Amino acid sequence: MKKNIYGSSLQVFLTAFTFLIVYLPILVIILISIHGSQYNYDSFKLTFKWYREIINDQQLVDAIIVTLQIAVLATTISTMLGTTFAIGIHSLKKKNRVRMMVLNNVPVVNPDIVTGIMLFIIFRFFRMTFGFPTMLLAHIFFALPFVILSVLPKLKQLDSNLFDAALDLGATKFQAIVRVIIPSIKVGMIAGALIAFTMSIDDFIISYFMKQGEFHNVSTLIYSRLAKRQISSNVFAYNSLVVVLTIGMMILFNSLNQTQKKVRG
Amino acid sequence: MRKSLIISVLAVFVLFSLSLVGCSSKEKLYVLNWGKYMNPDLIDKFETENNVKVVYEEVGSNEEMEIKLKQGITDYDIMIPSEYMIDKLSQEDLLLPINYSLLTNLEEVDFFEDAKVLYENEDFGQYLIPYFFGTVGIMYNTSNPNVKTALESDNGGFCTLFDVNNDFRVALYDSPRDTIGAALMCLGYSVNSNNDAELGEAEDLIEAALAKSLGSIRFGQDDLKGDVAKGNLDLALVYSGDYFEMVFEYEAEETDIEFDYFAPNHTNIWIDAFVIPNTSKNTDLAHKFINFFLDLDNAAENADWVGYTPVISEVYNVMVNDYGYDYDHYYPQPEGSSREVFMYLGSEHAQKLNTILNAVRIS
Amino acid sequence: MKSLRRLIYPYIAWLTVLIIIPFLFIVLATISTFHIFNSYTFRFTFDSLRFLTDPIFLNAFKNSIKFAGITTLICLTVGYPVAYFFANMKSKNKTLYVALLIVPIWSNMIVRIIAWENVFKPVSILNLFNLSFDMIGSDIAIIIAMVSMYLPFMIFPIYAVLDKMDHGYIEASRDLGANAFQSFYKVTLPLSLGGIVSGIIMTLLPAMTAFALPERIGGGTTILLGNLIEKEIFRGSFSIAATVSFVVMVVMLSLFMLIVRFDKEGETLL
Repeated sequence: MKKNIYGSSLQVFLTAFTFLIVYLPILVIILISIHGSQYNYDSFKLTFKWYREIINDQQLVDAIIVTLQIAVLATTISTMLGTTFAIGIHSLKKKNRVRMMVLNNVPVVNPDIVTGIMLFIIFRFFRMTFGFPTMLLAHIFFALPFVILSVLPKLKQLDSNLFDAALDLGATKFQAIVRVIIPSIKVGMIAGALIAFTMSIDDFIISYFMKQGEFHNVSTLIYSRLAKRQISSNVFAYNSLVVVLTIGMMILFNSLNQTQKKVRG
Repeated sequence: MRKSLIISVLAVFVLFSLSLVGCSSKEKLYVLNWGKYMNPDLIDKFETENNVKVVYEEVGSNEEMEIKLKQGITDYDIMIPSEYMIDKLSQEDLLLPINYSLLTNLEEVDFFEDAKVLYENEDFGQYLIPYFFGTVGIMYNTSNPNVKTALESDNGGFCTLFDVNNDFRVALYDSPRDTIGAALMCLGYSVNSNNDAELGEAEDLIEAALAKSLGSIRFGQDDLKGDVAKGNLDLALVYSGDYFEMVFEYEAEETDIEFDYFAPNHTNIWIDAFVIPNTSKNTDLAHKFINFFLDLDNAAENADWVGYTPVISEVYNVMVNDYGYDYDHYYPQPEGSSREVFMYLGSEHAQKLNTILNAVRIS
Repeated sequence: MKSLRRLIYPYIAWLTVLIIIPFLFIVLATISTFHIFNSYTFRFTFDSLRFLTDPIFLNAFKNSIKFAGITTLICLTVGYPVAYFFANMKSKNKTLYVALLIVPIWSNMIVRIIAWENVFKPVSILNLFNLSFDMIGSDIAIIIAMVSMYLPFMIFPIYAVLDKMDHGYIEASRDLGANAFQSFYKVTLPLSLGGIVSGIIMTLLPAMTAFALPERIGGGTTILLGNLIEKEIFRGSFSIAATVSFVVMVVMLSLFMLIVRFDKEGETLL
């Protein structure tokens, strides 16, 4: 029942177009990262010096470490908390649940810059230390709603009797959650974690308001360098590495998955 | 088994990262400066000589510097803003007067005239020690010979940027003071004009230029110097230091230089200077920091790294003679040229400028 | 499971502190001289509200709607068939292919914007292939770059919904005599509406308030709402920035509530 929405050859064309337009900047980034000159594009000079330059750039290395630390911590914490809150929200009556979800979605629809200002105001009010603590809290703040949004649909698909059945059979609430609910919503949790990680890695404007002194994550570092100096190509090299490594991991993961499926028969 | 392995790895990672948020017990000096405006080796040297830690933060504009100071998150000891911002901050009582007796190197030093005038200014000279200065000018790509002709013609200079009759690819700095200043200078007015009629003329000039049909025009900041150098632009309003920065980078890469700098006869000169805000918790150390950069050897090493023209004439001589800085336009006070300094004329005036630069972009 | 209700109390507290309280501060800043700085003299003033009638604001608003609207439309028109294509794919690796669309998002947004900037200028890395484009500052350039950024966000939710849709519905509809177009229009489309709504929200709203992209690719001559807020915070008046922020928040939330009404299945976000 191959149904035609616009016809299948058009679908293929549009898919190719999609990959082209989405990956064009990536290809450009990779090209720039292996081209020897930052100003002259007359002839191609292959070089890997920009990749070596990544290590020499202590600021960049520090910023990369910060970005990764915050991303991992924020993802872990928001996934655990988000799942917990999602379970709570799921157990509400429809009216309250809707109210809760409206509030939950405010960080999602709010423009970054406004969220940045708002968080700055409140953290300043509490005289918090700006830097790692505030940036981490901010990333948890905007990741939580996405985790909840990923987990809730899975909770809806869950048979609500299972939980009660587990309680009847003598499990504590905690055991029931961990052994009955969590396994069924695992896919939602993973999806939520992935979204949280992605948002954290790339965040710029919110992180900008959350930092002080020499503290930077990769995005704020790049943007601040943009302010008074040219961007050096080692940043492009770092980005190319991220992309290539990610694609590599994904292909690897996928083929491992396939072999597992084959093994299981 | 796998789950517990993952959890323990994460736990170790968490503990590890929390431990990296450490602190040292040394005295700290908080410095706020522009990007790429101070030799990091010299900062390390200062740290070692005085056994302190310098927490060094960079911003991209005076307004950002002001915001960071007023946000109050960090108690800055040293800031290096431009003259009009120093004027403003001093009017708001946010700066501490410099204690000249603590600056032992000051006697050996002779500032250039333009910097000295600022330093001796009645109202706010007592709060600053000059650092670097430069002029606003036009960087242009030499592959189109018409550009140089146009710049040097009677109606040239800054007016070339706003001329709707040429087909050049032009770019203006996205900074109200600089672009509106260039427009005012083209019209023959003072860059500090607060006269609504004059400002209105400047606004019309910029608006007409943005609507021009030949060639193209746009705004930018950091990207302008690179684009002129590469040939993406014919000319752009820039700071003198931007031009030198590109010269040095092209020399380092050994790429051919096809761009030049046009210094109009009458232009705006900006001076960046050390100030000590009243948030400073360590004014003695702050003075030591300033004194460190008044040392002639340190200042020369710094000027070599930063590339802008030093304010100290002895250092300038060292740069030209010993470091090989025999460039055109490096000397900041050419004969016969006149230079005007920005003044701070109150927040209403600043808001007017900001509004003009927003209003001209209504499509 | 009603007893698990208590789990949400900490979350309510968290959201109250981090959303509602700052929101009140922003409202305060709209009608007074309240500031994020330490020093200022406080008084009530309605000057900032007048800015909402200023051509600068209205122009930025118009630009935001224009660019975000066109981008979303393109993303939807291109993204839906692509999501459909992937959902109907019979390959074992189809999740991998879809996931490949997420990879570019992991590379820094600012670097991607700089890459587009490079390409749109005449002297660019593409000169190595004898290609050259002089489009910086043009509307088309902004739209191309925006589509490049947001297409994956549109495709994902639609794919997710289409993928788990029960093909039995389509078969039943065909059995009952509907042709391909009718089956799509009456069965597939309504069932995937939740995904479409999510996709629109994830595209339209961020696009309306983007500022780095229009700033750099628009050559600084095109101002959207995000740019306006940024300029006012750093160079202008915090009160005006707060006013514009407030309006933007209200508009975004209203758009969100409006769009969600189209999703009768209750799949999206609620």
